[in-house]
Amino acid sequence: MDQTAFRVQALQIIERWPEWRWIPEGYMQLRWTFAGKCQEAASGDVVDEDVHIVWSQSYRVPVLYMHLSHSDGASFTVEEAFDFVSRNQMASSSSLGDPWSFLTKTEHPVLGVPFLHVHPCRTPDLMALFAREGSAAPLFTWLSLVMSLIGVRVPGAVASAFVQEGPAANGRSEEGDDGLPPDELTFPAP
Amino acid sequence: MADFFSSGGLWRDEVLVSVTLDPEERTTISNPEPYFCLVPRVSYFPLVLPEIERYFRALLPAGTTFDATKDLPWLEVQGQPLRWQHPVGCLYDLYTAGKADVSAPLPLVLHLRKFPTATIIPMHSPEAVRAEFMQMVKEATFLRDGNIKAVNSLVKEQTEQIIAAMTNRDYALFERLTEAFRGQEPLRFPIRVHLPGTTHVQLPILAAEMPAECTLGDVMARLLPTLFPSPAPAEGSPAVVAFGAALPLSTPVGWLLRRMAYPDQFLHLAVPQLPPGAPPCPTRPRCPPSSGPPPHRPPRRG
Repeated sequence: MDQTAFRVQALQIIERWPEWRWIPEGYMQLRWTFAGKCQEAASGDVVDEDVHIVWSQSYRVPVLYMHLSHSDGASFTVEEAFDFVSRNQMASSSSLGDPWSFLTKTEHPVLGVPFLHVHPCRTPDLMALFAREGSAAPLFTWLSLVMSLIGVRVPGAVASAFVQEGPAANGRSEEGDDGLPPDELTFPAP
Repeated sequence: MADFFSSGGLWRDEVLVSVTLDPEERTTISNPEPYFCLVPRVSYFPLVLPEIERYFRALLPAGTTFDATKDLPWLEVQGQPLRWQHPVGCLYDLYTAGKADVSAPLPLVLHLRKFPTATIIPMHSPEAVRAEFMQMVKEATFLRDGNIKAVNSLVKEQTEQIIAAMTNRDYALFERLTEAFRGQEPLRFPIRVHLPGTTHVQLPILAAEMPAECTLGDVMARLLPTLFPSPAPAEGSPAVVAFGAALPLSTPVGWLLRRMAYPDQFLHLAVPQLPPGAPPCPTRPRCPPSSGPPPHRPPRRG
């Protein structure tokens, strides 16, 4: 995948999953508030979650960046963020490890401010794996995986759209391979 | 024959830094003397923070209290939080090069309160510095080789040795341990340009797409075409600085990568002064953090 393909596939995803939007500087953004069970801070605390998918020029893969802040605007500390992510991480991805092993704080490549990110050094291998398995929409496949790491469920309608539709490739079966219900996706471990 | 570069001359270079205390802390102390220190160019500011902190904390009145979670120390330069994940040398060049008195120390301010979590990354342990350093090494290796096998094939002990050699500035040992990182001719150049007031600029430049004897000018013209419309030096083109030296645009990039890369395997270049009238960020618009109402229908959580 190159940067142009990234943009094309990102826009395809955004079309079907309208909570995302495309930022002209070249990345996808999902921003929403989560009123949930953040027990340590204050119960009923509203969490502002900002998730960006940015193309890495160096690794030539998409990279997940996320920023969590409290309702008063204060950024989550690294500990608070890991706690939040591990409580929300989906069971299907728990084998991929706890947040300490994959989330690190770094400077957002466009905004220049601290964000957590999933370091891209393993992603090229992962994308190669998807390509070998004939994935018709590698960005979507990758996105579903990282969304499950941070506990965001892919809406069933979106998943079905990519499993059944998508650019034709390699005579791949149109249905999900493993007979799971459409809104449950599992992936090989990286 | 050992020349200045191959004997680690650049690694021995140190820069003078002066640190004053945040004026808000100076309530009952009349005006503490600044703290001066010589810091290696190839090091990182978080590694000298403890000695700076010790000096000033000793001068605080007894009973001064801090909030353990919010009040982590940080450094300020020219009114901005210092982005201390970058090597000392390139930050020094960025903030002092071009100033009339080149021997003046780089003035920093130590803050002990209200760590600006929205602006800079906390790096209060040697482990944090090591982790950042190794990520840079991985990225440089990926750019050079197209994969990170050279880094992944290191066993823990080798990584520890490399980091120790870097911290102790043992150039000869470091070069021996990291030979594998510089095996072939690079596929892409690990070059990062630091500009005032913005994030760094770094675009992978495919060596195959550049002229055979690629010069610094060729690279700058590719990375920052508005500042460097042509690879040849022109009237008014800004200085490109590394290790305190304004580099001629005719310098071969291969030579620079072999001789003037930092321990993290990147060639960090500073362009400390933009010509008057240049846009603040020549290749990327500086956009404020995205604002606007979040969508009213959040995605389902697991």
